[in-house]
Amino acid sequence: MKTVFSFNRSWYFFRRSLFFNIRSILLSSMLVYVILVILFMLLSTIVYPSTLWHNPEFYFMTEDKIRFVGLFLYGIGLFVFLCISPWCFGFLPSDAIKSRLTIELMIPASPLEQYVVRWLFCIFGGSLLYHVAFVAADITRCWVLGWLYPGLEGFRFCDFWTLYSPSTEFPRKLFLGGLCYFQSFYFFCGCFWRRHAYIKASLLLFLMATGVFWVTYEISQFTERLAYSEEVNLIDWYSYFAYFLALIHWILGYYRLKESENITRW
Amino acid sequence: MLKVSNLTFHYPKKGKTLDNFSLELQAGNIYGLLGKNGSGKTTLLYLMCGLLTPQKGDARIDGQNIRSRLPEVMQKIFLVPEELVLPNMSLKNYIKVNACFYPDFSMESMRKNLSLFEMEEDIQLGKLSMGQKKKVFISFALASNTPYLLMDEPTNGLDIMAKSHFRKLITENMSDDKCILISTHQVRDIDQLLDNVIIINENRLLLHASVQDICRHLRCVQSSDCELARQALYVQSSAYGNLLLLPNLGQEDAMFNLELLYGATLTHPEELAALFPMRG
Repeated sequence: MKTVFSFNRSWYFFRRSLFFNIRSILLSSMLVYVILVILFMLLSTIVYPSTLWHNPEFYFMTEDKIRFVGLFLYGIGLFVFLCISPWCFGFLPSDAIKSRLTIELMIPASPLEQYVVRWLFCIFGGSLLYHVAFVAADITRCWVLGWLYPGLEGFRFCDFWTLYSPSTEFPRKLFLGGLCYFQSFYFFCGCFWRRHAYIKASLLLFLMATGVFWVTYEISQFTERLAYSEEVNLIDWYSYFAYFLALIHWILGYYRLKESENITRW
Repeated sequence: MLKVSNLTFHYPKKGKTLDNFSLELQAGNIYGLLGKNGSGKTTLLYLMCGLLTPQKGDARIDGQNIRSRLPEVMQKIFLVPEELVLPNMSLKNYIKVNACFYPDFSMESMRKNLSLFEMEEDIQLGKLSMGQKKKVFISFALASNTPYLLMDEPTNGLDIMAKSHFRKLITENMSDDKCILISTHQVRDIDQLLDNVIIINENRLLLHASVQDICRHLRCVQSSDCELARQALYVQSSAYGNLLLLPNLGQEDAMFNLELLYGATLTHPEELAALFPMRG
């Protein structure tokens, strides 16, 4: 029976991809963890007032500041990490390893199976890795500061789950929609360009953002309606539009990946 | 059957690599694919594997278009490319993650092939030389038991003993339901293996004949006789005298010299085409 998608084969391909990329996955995770620990330690010295270090008996609750710092770090870091995730740009090997490409293309897995596995690696795998590295770095921060300053009790874990809970004032939908859009944009550009994909994608994003900002500004000169109005909540619409564009990117990415199986198109 | 029908292909901004090319490969045969550098041998292999899209024509495996890239079709064909890059992992893990794609893969056959190549099972692929990687990959290719096995310069990089082991492996792993196509310049490495010879040049098929037919129509003689040389289809000078390719008028049992046949086909394609009408 001819099948375009088989769970068995997808699992085999997933396992194969994991084995082949395990080293880069572990190295990426370690790198993210180390960078986050350094940033956390640096930011902790800025967040806590200097009196806290010199007068251990006096402290005030810094939970809000830590939460703010943590959310900031989490949000920015997640954006950056997922957008430059190596699997975004590792789908189409360069000429230098064209011989490996030939062997890869001969694997009996359909383009859809290969795409789904790579999409899972990029979207969920990347997110999971970042979450684990973030939590580990945060625990390390609290442990190190607690060990360095045993008299102080102001260290709290960053609560990034507030980004996903309904109680936050932060525009959660916009954050998730934006994350989805940006990550899918880099994912699609990684499928489209073979060389210097990250630089080209960033340049294109900058040009698009500049264009949108300029258009929005010009339009606002002629209309009284603001980009965000209390009468109409456009945040939801922006979010849905971002999800829609992400879906378009993913679909186009699939067709581009399928087309790339023809080795003369490299 | 692997059937190539009216295939026309050219790379972007280049002339035609293959023009209205047709070919049929039947199970139970070992084919040798010969041709000059740049004649299109590797391109033909890639087209047969579905890695390239022809401008016209198609390649089908048991009636199914290879360009559909359905896994069920891809499972029937295995390509050993000329250059190999293997991941830096143990051979055991490599087999574990790749063998599952080929339902007829045989671990016993893999062990036997490795043992014939004098390779251990417990090795790290990243630490192997090019020749060793080739031995491992050829062992894997033969153990996958795909009905169609295409090999591009498989003996490149193999040492002298390994070439002998390669011939033995091919012979031992061959069966009536398999078809092996070997593209090579190293004719002396494979001439005793072949059942059929395919020679291409300047984007067309020059010769496609069985070794049996070739030996029935042609004979190879070593002689310094000038009169005999004048009658020969092709003459190749050597240190021990001239090698002559003559018509086998008496239907004698003739020695098969692939190098001589190759030279004759490139030099006198029309005469050879008349002797061996094209199949496929």
